[in-house]
This record gives sequence, C-alpha cells and structure tokens, in this order.
Amino acid sequence: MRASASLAGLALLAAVELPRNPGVEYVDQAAAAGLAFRHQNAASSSKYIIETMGSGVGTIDFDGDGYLDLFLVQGGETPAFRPAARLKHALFRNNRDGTFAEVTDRAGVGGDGSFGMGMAAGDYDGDGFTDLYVTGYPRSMLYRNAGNGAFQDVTGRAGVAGEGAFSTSAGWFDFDNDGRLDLLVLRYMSWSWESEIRCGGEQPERRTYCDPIHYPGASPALYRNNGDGAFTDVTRQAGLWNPDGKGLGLALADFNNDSWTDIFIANDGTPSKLYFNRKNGTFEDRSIEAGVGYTEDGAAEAGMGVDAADYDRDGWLDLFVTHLDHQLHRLFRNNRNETFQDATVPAGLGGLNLLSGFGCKFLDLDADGWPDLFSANGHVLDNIHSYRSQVRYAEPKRVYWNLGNGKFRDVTSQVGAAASEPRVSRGLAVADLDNDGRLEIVVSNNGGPPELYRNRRPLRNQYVILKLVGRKANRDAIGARLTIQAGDHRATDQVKGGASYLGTGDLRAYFGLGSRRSVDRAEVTWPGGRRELWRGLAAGKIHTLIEGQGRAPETP
Amino acid sequence: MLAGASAAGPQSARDCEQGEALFRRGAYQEAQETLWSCVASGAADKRFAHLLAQTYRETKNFQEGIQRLDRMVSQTAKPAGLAQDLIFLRGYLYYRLGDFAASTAALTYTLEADSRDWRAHELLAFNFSTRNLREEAVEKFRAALALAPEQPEVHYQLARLYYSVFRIPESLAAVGKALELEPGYGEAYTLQGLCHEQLGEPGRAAESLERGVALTRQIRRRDEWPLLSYAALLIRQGSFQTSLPLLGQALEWNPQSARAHYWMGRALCRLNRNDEARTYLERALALDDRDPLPYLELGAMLLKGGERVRGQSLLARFEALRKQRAAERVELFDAR
Repeated sequence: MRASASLAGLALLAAVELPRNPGVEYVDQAAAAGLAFRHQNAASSSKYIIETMGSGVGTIDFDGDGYLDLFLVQGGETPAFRPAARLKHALFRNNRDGTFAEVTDRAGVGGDGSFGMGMAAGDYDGDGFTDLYVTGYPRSMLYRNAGNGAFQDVTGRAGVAGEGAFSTSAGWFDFDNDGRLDLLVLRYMSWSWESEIRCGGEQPERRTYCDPIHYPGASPALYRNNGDGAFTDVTRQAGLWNPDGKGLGLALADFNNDSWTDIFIANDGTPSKLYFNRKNGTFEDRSIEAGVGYTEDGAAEAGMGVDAADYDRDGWLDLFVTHLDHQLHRLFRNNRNETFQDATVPAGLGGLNLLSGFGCKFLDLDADGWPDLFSANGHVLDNIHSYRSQVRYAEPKRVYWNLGNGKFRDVTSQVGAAASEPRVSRGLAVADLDNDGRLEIVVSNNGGPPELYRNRRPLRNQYVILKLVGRKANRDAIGARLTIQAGDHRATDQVKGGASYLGTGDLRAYFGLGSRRSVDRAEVTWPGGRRELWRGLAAGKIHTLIEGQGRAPETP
Repeated sequence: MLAGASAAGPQSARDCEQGEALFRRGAYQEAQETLWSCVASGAADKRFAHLLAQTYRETKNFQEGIQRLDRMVSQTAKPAGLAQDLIFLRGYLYYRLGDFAASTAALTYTLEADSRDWRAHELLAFNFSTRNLREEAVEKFRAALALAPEQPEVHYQLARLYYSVFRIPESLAAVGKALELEPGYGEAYTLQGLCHEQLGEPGRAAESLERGVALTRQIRRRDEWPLLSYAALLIRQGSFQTSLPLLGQALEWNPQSARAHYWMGRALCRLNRNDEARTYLERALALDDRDPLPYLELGAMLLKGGERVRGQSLLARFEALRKQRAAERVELFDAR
C-alpha cells in the first residue's frame, strides 16, 4: 500500500521508507518456454499497409484445465510475398510447468491463408469450452471448441466471416444481456490488395506505408448471437454504423455502472467513439459530449490500443488509449456522469512522447492494489527514422507505476532490461499463466518472435484471483462487475471480453491486496444488474464464483 | 557608433542606431522609415537591411515595400552595398507575398554576388520551410548561422522550424542560444515555454511564458500571442480562472483576435460560465469561420446543453475543416 491515506497511516508512512519502484523484474522467457513462433509480416517494397499493423496475441484456456494457453496470430501471403509453406497461426498449450507445446495442427486453428490480425476468445455457445474468433483480411474465422482439443471452423454457418473486410480487434460481450455472447469486430479501413496506393518519396528507401487518411473508412460490425450457432449483423439497428471508422482498438466495459456493457473504439486518425448501451438493443454515440472523441485541442489522434480499469479506485472505469509518436498516450478519468476528463498531463503522462503505442493494459504489477500501466510500442513506418530523426521503428516498452495519488511514474528502466529492448511490438496480453499470483505479459512483435515476460522476483504483496462463472449470464461472465473490500481497501473491476490491441487476455479478475490477507467481501454484479455476495476469500488463491451460489447482498 | 555603420556618414549611423532602437521597442512603422534611411545611405552592416525586412513582417505593407524598392532601383547612383541589400529586400518581400519563385531567384542572385550573405541563406531557409522542404531549410539555417552565429533571430527561426517538426530538444537548444545572445528576446521566451510544455515540464514552461509576456508588456508591443500561449498552458493545466486576466488583456490588445475569443470561450466553458462562453465562441466563429476549434468547443457545449441540432451542425463543420487541414498536412508531409 503506497498511499491509502488515513491519518494514522500517514504518521506511519512518515517513519517507513516507501518503495521507489514496483519491485518486479521481468525477463523474457519466450524461447525458454517453447514459444517457437515468428510473425511473418510479409514486408515488401509494395508497402501494403497490412504488413505493418499486425498482429495479435491472446490467452484462451482451450482445454479447460485452469491454465491459460496462448494463441498467436500469423500474417499471410500477399501479392508481393509468397511463402514456401503456408503460414499458420499458432496455439500453444500450457504444460503447467512454465513451458508450452504447440498444438495448432491437432486443434485445427492454423487459419485458411487469410492475413491474420487479431483474436478474441469466448464461449459463445455456452457449452463450457472457450471458442476462438480470429480476425484478418480478406476474411475472419470463428472456431468452435469441440471440447476434445480440436476446433471446428464454423465461420460460414455463423455468418461472421466479414468477407472482404480488413478486420482488426474483436471482442465478445453480451450487449443485450440475453445470456449469449455477441461479437463486435472492428474494421481498419476499406482496403484491398488492388486498391493499395503509393506514398512517401520517389526513391525506394523513402517510400512509406500510407497514412490512413488516404483510405476510406469502414464501419465496425456488431453480430448478435442468435443462440443457434448463427449470428445476425445488427450494426445499423444498434446505432453503431460508422463508415468513417478506422478501428484498431476496443474496450468493452460498463462505463456508467448500469450493468450494461458500453463500447469504446480507438480509431486511427478519426474520432474515437464511445457508445453507451441504452438497454434496448441500441447504443448512443456520446463521444463528443464525453470528451473522448477528439483531444481538447481538436485533434483526432491515431488511436491504436485501449484498456479500461478503475485506476483511481473510485468505482468507475477509466480509459487509457495509445497513439502515435508526438501524440500522447491518453488517460481519461471517468467523471461518473458519462463524461471523462483528460487526465494525461495531471497524471504525469504528458511528456514528449516519441513512442507509438499499440497493445496496452492496466495491470497491478506489484499487487499493491493500484492498477499500473504497460504499453507495447513500435512505429508504423519501417523507415520513420529518415523522416523523424528521433523516432525509430523498433521501440522499447513503457511501464508506468500507479503512485496511488492520481499520478504515474515511468519505471521502465527498473523492471528488468528486457522491457527496454527495442521491438516492433503490437499485441499485448496479460495473464497469470502459471497461477502463482505474479502476472505474465505476452507481447506479439511485427516480423519477429513474441516475448513472454515473467517476473522473477517474489511478489511483495498479497493478491486474489476471482474466476466468475455465469449461469443465467454468459458462462464467461463477461460484463460482470466485481467490487472487493479487504479492510479499508476497496477496488472494482469488470470481466472484459475485449481490450488492448488485437487480442484478449485473462478473463479472471486480479486484485492486488497490499498486505491484507483476505477479502472480506466480494460483490458481483452480473450483467443486467443482479448482485451476489461472497465473504471471507483468502488471499493468494484463485476463487471460482459461480452465479447463483453466492449470498444475497445487503440492501444498499 | 554602431559597428558596420561606419561606411556611411554620421547621420546614417544615427539612423541605423535609432532604427534598431525603434525596432526593439516595437515601433515598427517608425523603425521602417528610419532603417530605410540607414540602408539607403549604404550601411555596411547587413543586419540593418535584415532588420528593415523584419519591419515589413510586422507592418505587412509588402506591396508598398516593393514599390519603394522599384523607385530605389531606378535611381542611377547607389551607394556601395545598396544593390545587394535591395535584392535581398526584394527576395524578402516576394517571399512574404507568396511568390517563392521570384524570392528564390532574387536570393540566388544575392548569393551569387556574395555567397557569405547570411541573410540570403536564412531567407532561403524560410522559402524551403514554407514549401515543406524541412531538411533543406535546416541546412540553410545552419549555413546562415555558420556565417553569422551572433544573430539571435536566425537561432530563433531555426528553433521555430524545429518546433514545427516536433524536434523539441533541438528547438529548445536553438532558442536557448537566441536568448543567450539577446536576453530581452520576448518571442524566444514564448517559444522556449512552448518547448517546455511539449516536454511535459509545465513549471519551466510557465516560467518562460510568463517572461515572454512580461517582455512583451515591457516594450508595449500589443502582440496577443505570448498572452494566448501562456493562457493556453494554464487552461491545459486546469488553471482556468488564472487564465482569464491574460485572455482579457489579449482581447484588449487585439479585439479582432479570433483565437483570443476562442480561448476565452474555452476557459469560461470549463468554469461552467456557459452563457459567457457561448458569446465568445460565437464571436470567434464570426471572426474566423475557417478555424475548426471554436466549432468543436461550441458544438460540444450545445450538445451537452441539449441543443442537439445546432450542436451537430457545428460539429459537422468542425469535422469537415479538421479533415481538410489533416489532408493538407499529410499532403505536405507525404508520410506520417
């Protein structure tokens, strides 16, 4: 605990030296863990924009053993790049000993040759086995988990291929609270191999990937789950149709605490969108009123990744959005009235930014109860240095430690040397892969191998992990809100089926407890608003909270 | 007596000295007249023609300057050095009139006559910069500085260029050099403050911007931009109330400043003084209907207040203007 400032606590703090950093040391163990994968970006002199945008990584417990497995999305063939063998995505089973084994072929999730971009995991048919949606161009794929280690390609029957679309991030959520997971898929732009254009200088080394402003936008797509294995595109009816969209990152979360999941979309160079769920199958675009559509200075920044969490522990989810270099990675504080305040500068995140952020996550690195920030960075232009001498294609990560007083401190140089190694990073997933209470971070890199960051220092604080299982609600409990109370420590989180960039992470909720050894009460608000209470949850454990098995909470 | 004024007589030296003093005080019209006398009498120091050119930047009577030049050229007898000054001035005025080809031609001619004429290098840098040839512009500024490292104006202009292409640490270094050479350089303090703001150093930014404002007030130069730059920093920091006196003075100095109205509207809006904010924002739009920002501010305010139709209409206009500007910027950069 750094600054949960009761007066008695302040006197104690004066006498005790406070930690200067989170006390974690991350090392990259991807190779040692057996993650034998290299992203093929198909980089070519043709500069197809898709080459530089991918790809994603995410977690999925596909075999239901309680240990999260990893899925890495692969690029693909292009008119300018013909690989010797067909490229495949990769599914790595968690061996529960710190290593992984590739099971792609057995699982049948290698892809169909489309150029892969992102992934989203969720049990859309409620059968107890987590399914997988993989986005890409020119089509995306839905894999149904058969429960025997194999998946079936059900894209055609489900009607979610998005044929011809350049699909990026996707997320599962139950927008109509009917107990079935629906699917939101972002499109980057209206684009095809044939429509690619030429940008940059005349000399070959000055040719660049084009700014997205040169391309027409494309609307996201909302697919409602019919409950029979098929989905219906309800984008227009739901009020989400936006042909100007250039969607890259999404956060599916309840921003107004009404138990209905809202949508934030980070668009690249067009206004970000915040849609509030109006509980009748429609959403209302409140981006401008909410103060998140443009910057206060009227810029539509290059939105890439996004995450939502309650960083100031006031019970309302805030937003963090990554952008290009010379823009800011913005922190938006929830004003609790469907508006946000740009807290980037007051939070200490407003300095000159030379990094282009993609995947990003709030995560409690040191389990002190305050969500920290991690961003995966890498520019879009492989020759950016010739245009901006201070900027590089490969960039280090950024780690910001939440000081508990509304401010963050850049501690990148203090969390292990690996984070400072320059990479062209894109996807970022956070999970406790070995269930030991220390969070792992998986990063996918454009044109390179992934990174798997493990903290090799013992955790200096207590934690609890809560896995929710829905019964009336969707089985993954996506959209459920959790509020825990441990002594004087109160914190809130939600189960989110979409965030970061091109991937989804651990659906279990992780709470750092500082020095507290148990959670006195954990209240779950299931999608739709029904509340349940659990008491006396011991720290240092993973607790499974099943809908209907908790107590009725006290009347507020 | 001023160094370099010795080639002409004592009257010329006095004109040169007085012209520079008037310029430093912000009395640009008077400075222009006096510096013309100084230059016409054949002052040896190139910086007087350079200062004369800068008076046109402030008074903006470029066409009148061209006519005056034409008259001078038609005179048969010209003191030594004047011909080159006149060509330089022609290059400057054409640049300001947007005729970059004519400007570049004049400057090339100047440099052919004297490749060590730092003013021509600097002015070519302006030409390159305006045509978005940023690297070439940097090179030309550096060439000018190699010949005249003691010229604060050139350091300052290089700093501005660096700032415009987000090379903030380099901008800060160059503006620091300008201030080292001329500690009373108000505009340089303002730029220094903007650099610190970009670097996430609000305390240092405020210090420099405040100094820029103080110097502007000291010379009674009624330039609202230092005030607006400082007010904008305060507003971005959430100090809305503190920004109001600065904005009030900016509006007093330039009642036609659309940007001053915009910032006043924005500050008042944050203070929930919406009726007043609306008045200022409406005025900003009336003064400059091509600036996207008042459309956004007013549009968002109206939407929040329930005036959805007009709010949406203003936002649509904002988006159209924003897109247009973004497209122009990308077209110039042709890269991210």
